Amino acid sequence: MVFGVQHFSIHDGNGVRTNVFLMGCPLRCLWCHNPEGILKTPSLSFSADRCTGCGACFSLCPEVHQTEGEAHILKRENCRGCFECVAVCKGHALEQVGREMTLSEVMDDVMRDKRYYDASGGGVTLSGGEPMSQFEFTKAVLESCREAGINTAMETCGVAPQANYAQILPLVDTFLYDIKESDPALHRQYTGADNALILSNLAFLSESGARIILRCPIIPGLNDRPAHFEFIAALSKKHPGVEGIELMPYHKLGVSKTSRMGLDRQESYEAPSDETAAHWNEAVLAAGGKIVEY
Amino acid sequence: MITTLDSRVARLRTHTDTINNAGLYRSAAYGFIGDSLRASVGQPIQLRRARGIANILDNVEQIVFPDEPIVGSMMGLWTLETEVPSYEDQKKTAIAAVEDYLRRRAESEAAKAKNPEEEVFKRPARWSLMSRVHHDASLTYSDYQKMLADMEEHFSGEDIKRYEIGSALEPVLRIRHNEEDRKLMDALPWSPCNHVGLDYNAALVKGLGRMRDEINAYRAATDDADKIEFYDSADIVIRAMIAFIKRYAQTVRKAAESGDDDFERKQELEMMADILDKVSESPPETFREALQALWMLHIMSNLVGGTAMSFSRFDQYMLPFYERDMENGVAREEIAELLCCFWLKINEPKIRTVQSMTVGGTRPDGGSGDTDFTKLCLEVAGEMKLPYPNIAARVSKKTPDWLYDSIVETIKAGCGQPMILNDDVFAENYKKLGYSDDFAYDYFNMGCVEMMIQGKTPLWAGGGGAGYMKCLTEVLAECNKGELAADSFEEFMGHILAKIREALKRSREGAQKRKKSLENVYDPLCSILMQDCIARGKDMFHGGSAGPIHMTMGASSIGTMADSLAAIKKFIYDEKRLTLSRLMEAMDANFEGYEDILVMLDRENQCFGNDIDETDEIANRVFQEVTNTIFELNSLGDEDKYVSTFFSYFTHVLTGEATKATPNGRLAGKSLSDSMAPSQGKDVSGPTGYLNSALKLDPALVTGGYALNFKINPSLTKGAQGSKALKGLLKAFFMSGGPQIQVNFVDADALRAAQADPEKHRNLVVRVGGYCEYFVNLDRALQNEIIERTAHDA
Repeated sequence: MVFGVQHFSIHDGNGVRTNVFLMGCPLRCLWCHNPEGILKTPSLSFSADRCTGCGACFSLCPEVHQTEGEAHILKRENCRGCFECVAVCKGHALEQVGREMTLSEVMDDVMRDKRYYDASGGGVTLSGGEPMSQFEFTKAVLESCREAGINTAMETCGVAPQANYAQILPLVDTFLYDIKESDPALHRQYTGADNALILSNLAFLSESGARIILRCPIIPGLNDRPAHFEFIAALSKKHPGVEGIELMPYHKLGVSKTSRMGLDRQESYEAPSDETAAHWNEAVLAAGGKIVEY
Repeated sequence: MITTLDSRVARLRTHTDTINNAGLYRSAAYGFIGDSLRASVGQPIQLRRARGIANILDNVEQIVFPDEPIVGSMMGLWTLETEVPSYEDQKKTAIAAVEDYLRRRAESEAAKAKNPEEEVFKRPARWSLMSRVHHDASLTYSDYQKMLADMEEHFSGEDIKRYEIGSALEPVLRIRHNEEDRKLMDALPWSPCNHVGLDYNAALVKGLGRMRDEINAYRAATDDADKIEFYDSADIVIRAMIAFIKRYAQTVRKAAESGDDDFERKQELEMMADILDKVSESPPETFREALQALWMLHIMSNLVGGTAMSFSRFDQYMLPFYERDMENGVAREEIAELLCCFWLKINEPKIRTVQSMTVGGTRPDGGSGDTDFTKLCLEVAGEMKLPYPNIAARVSKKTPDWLYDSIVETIKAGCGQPMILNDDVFAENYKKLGYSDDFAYDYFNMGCVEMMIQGKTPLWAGGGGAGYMKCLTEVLAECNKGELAADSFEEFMGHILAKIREALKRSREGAQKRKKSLENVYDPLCSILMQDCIARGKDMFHGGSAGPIHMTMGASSIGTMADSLAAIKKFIYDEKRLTLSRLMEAMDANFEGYEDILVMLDRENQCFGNDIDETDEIANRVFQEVTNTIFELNSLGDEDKYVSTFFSYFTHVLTGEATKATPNGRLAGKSLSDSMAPSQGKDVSGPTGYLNSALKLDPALVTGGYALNFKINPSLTKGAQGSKALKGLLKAFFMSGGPQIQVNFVDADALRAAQADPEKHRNLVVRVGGYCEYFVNLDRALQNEIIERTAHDA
């Protein structure tokens, strides 16, 4: 199950890349910027600000599309997932998020940009959600990429059996490995699980010779602490497989996505200024960490 | 890296802006030509032209601007117009003209647009869309746009299109002067050489003195009366050219003696005068001498009326001078400053329309033409961010990485330049067209994206083409009436392709008829600078030039066409959700009352530009029908080369204004898709999907012009990572056989700000369709179209 294939992605690994977003995730981060990835089945996305009030969906599917006062509301529990309402939506307010794709469909899609990967040193990045939560499919995509000579990167939160990482290790050129919080208790509070497994998988990957970039979301008020920056820097020094660190300053995109998807409303934090983000980078550098440059 | 802040270049930039925004200018050329024509009645036309040209060169005022290192200006021919009626008075004239038009239109049904695509081109209104062409207007360009808007408001109750208003206003909102002279010119007709790249190289290598001697030697050796007439004409002109440069030397020397410049500038002026004296007859030796000599040739071709004169392969013929200077220890920065000043000269007022330049690419001997001087030209373009020259960089599979880097950095500087051309397409296709390597590898982009051979092709002649929307509308109507059977999409498609083929074949007849209008056209000045004319003793329009005319034909708006055909296939034939007659009813009603169809087309049609094989294949079949048919016209024995061109300039906006709703859900009056691009806002699969679709159109027989506008939001290509990505995109596109691309690199917010407050954004340059222009100098409809396309990328 895939919730999107994004071509010409240039911020998730080297060169021109195609991101394949796989659905499903074991964590529930408070700030999740891809909340649609948490879902496991195709779902309806509704952007109220684009709704023209034309009423086409009301007559097509009154079970789901209803009014509450002036507002257009969705009874999602009644949705059968046919997505016929998307086709009649004039304002592009309704969209389908997620669809089932076969391995050959995914490969046909990513192979379309092979010429750009070759010319720029790019390739495919598996992302999510958490790719390891669809382990068999992820592995199959990685194997196919290997056969086709496509460079591979995988973004992962580190929450998966070590044995699974061992299996895909030779198939992944770069791990974009999330480090979200240094303190185990806070990690549980922020994401729903502690970080022991994440840290041991990191050690395992590094010892096994993987190329790793640490990706660290920094959320103001949650983990923008000096101790956390020092922890990240220390990790990068401790594990020889870690090539560098990329700090990911918080942005609010996830908040509007949750409301569109009808998910529980997400807490909103203050998005940092460019200056603040630069200070964070400096803090990591000062602690001896290496900021990655693609 | 070049920086020009706080320097001579910065001062000259201010000066160039000032004269560009000073107001309306009046030309003295008509008077000079008229005087000469009155004195030469009864003489052969060729000689009369030669004398007319000489009269301009002998008498035009010569101007030296403060600070400039390279002299020569059109401003000597133009004076500021002081007696212009007030805007309010002109508004009365305008209202009367539009009322008159409406009256005439009501009287004659024939005046109504029956076939919009043809109708639009019969009218002169398109010039009011382009500031650099509208020479005799009695309003500044921005006032002209205001007037059009005022008229739209005034006549909002009438059924009148913007292009109709423009066509009614253009003949009346003019400065009228030298009417008698103009009549004489039109009777000749004057029409000088235009839209070419002259053989500047020959003049730089030989010097004008030796060329004059050659003309006289040929003259002495022949007793063919026609040739004698040519050589006599050429002799008159080349002497006038030499005299013009010598007189400029005196003008500069006088400025040195009489002005109150400081000592340093006086010394420089003396040196400049010496250079002019030298290059008036002898070949230049240093880079500065060569640049001054080149500019003299260029400004002379403009003074006598040449338009869209190209610098063609500038970095190739200027390279020996650059290399010699480098060997002699001249600083690269010094050359860079001269080039910056030269760039500004090209942007002075009344330089006529789009002046192009081509850098890089394979040489005729097969070697690489990519040098440090190529790179320097690109650096200057990136630093100056001016609309002209309209630069193309040529690439091929052999292009070194450093040139791609240089191209990407220049594009990222934000001026939309350079466009990129693929030698592996154009040079190879020219060989298929029968050209030898000497020709094929010296192709260049004239004006916008029209390909010609440097110093050899005498003319780019409009030979018509196939209007996609016209073909489509006719086939739809004939099928609907039952005149054509269309039981399957294959059958329908067959009718479309046949219609395109017929239109192109008809265009050949039209082109040959138009060619007859060249019978009385001679240009002795440009013939001197066109390869083989002197040796053959013939004018460039009469068989003198080394190469034939490029007779261009083509078709634009592939996006609108492909999307319309894809919709017909999907909804009528495959899914049977529509009938042909219902779709046509909806189109006739401009989709009013057929909103369900409109939503279906919007949400479910498989549009071109998204790497969807089925639609791209439809586009390719249409495209190949055009390239094949035009290519085959070359086997019919005509002297000219028929070349295929896929470039809409700005006419997709204009044609769109006059075109009814189309099967893809595009509403009446809205812009068609431009040149080779997808429909506006319909490419939603990112940059690679866009390029992949374009790459599926087989360019094997593309021989004329090709414009693929590629818009990318600057945020996507920030920093070193972004440069690498953009380079990867471009390189992959060209390695895969893409013919041409031009990148537009400003975001929609910047454009909106410029539209709201033009005064503060006069310097914002955008790619339009094959050329660059100041955004504020564009017609509002065109501005909106560009904003729409740009916003969609964000």
